[in-house]
Amino acid sequence: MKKWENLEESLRLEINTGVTEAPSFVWDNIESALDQNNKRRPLFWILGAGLCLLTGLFLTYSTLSETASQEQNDAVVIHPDLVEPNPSNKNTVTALTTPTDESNTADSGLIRELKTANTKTATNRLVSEKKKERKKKPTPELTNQSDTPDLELRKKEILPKASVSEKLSLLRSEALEKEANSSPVKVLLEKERAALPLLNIEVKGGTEVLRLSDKVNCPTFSNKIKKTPFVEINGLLGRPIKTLSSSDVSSQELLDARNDSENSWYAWGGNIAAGLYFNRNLYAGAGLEWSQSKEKFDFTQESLVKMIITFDPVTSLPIDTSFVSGNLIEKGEIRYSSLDLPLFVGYQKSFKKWEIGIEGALLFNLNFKVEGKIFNKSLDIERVETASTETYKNNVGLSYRASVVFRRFFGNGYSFHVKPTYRRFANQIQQVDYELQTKMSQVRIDFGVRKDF
Amino acid sequence: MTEEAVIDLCRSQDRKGQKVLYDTYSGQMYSICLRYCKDAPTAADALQNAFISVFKNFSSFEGNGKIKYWIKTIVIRSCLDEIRKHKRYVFTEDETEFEDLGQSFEQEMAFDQYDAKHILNLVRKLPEGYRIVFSMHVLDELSHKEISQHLKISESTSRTQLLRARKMLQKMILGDNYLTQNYSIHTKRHSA
Repeated sequence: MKKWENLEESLRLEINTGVTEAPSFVWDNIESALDQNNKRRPLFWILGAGLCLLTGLFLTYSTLSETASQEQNDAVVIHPDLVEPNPSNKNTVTALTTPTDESNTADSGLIRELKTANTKTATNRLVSEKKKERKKKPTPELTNQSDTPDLELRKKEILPKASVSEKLSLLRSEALEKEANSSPVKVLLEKERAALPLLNIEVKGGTEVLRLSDKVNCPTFSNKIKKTPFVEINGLLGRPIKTLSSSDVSSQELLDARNDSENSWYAWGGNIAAGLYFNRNLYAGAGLEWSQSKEKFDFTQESLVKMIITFDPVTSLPIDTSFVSGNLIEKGEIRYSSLDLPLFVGYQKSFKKWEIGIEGALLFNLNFKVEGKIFNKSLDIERVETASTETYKNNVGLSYRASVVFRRFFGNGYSFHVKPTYRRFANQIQQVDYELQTKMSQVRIDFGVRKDF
Repeated sequence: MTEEAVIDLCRSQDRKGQKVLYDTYSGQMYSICLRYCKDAPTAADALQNAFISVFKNFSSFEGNGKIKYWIKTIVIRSCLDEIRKHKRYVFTEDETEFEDLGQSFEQEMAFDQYDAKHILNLVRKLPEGYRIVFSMHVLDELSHKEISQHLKISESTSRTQLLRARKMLQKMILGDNYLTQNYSIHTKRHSA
């Protein structure tokens, strides 16, 4: 007798020992699905890279527009102490001069500022500007102005006693006087200003009357950011990674022979490139790259015996037989040379004197060449370049690479960089009718110099 | 070729290694598929999808456990997906019936007269919900907690389905006039 649990146990034993052969088409379907997946992968990466590129460009464009818009907004803020109010409208600016040298003010986005706003807001902006200036290390030009009394201190002295308009008037006239003496840009006195020609300048959708000296350069509010070109030259050193595979059982012997005899060695090469910085962070460019992956061919056949028969030259009869035993050693190298046209895009961020970023590239193969010993289909050793049937392609199409960039600046626009890089050939590198599938990639370090103009 | 070597080849997406792995386990896994799926074409689809998933996600196999059990888990999941595609299995919770089944019973039967293969054929004839839970718990030794996670049902539902499946299987054996000679069932009602 047997309990129900025992029956279940016997069922488990039955299913563990029982095997039903799967239909043969299942493996064929699996294989084709896996092949399709492999074919889709390069396309996926290309589309992904393209999408990243587009996103990067869109973000950059957005940032540029935003920066330009911000600059224009900043440009309507004014130094109240440099403004002469229009007698007809106290809120309207009629004349102005710049307090510091042009380069300094250009950096701060306040070169020449116009505003039709009330002076209270302007005063607040002035105070914050002065605070910012105090934090900055003074430039040689600004050092000359150090004799000028601190407006903030003056304000503190005056504020308790005078009305707002009086305070502003006093501050304004003091600043004008001092800056007329010390500023590299001449501050005109009222009479001199009155003698200048009138200019009509469009400001924020309206027209304001301005008196400007022709010696003062007007700032531009253009939203165009200059694109800076660069050139670079790189060397590269790394390790090739090659994988051989076969879906055909009959090729197993060749696959084993090749896997045993071909060993990864090193990759080297170089490239030159030129490109443009779209802003401080984003750049793109194109170039020319040559690289070579090297493998060692190493095959040893042990315990071979060679028989030597010596014949009598007169009678042509064998007179001696000897045996020599030893190992057959075949050594050599296999070189995979590739000439490519890389198109790259990079994004970097500043960290003091360092720039750290990422870079991606698509490489269009111009030429691919393989030299060296390998086993052929008949399992004989022969040179690839002289073999009767071609093993490898002459052009392998697209490949892609991704790098992390570490760049250090040395002045005069020169920088040195190191880029740990992974490069992969998108396609298999063997001829279509060759029985083994060969994929190749490189893990390497690119190093070189870039010159920014 | 050792199992470790095959696993290494599969990790590197080597087709030869994948074929060896498939040849080793496809028979056992197809048997599992046939148990879960009603018909052979559905079972073949489930097997195919399972192995594609195995090869695509081979990097996630950590190698801590046996590969057979990892593949088996994927195959069971694939079977459930395949069944879901065609028809969603329904688990009903009839409280009245559950009380009837809440008996502790003890069965004794003559084991020398039944054939495990025949009983497995009867298992295939069970309604889908019963068959799945019975297969998962009794044959593939998954706990009720695991079953509840796979099927997204409560543990109590899983237990109920199993009890029903067992009872129906017993009835089928009796109805099949199988084991009639020495089969007896003793039920004891709960005193409570």
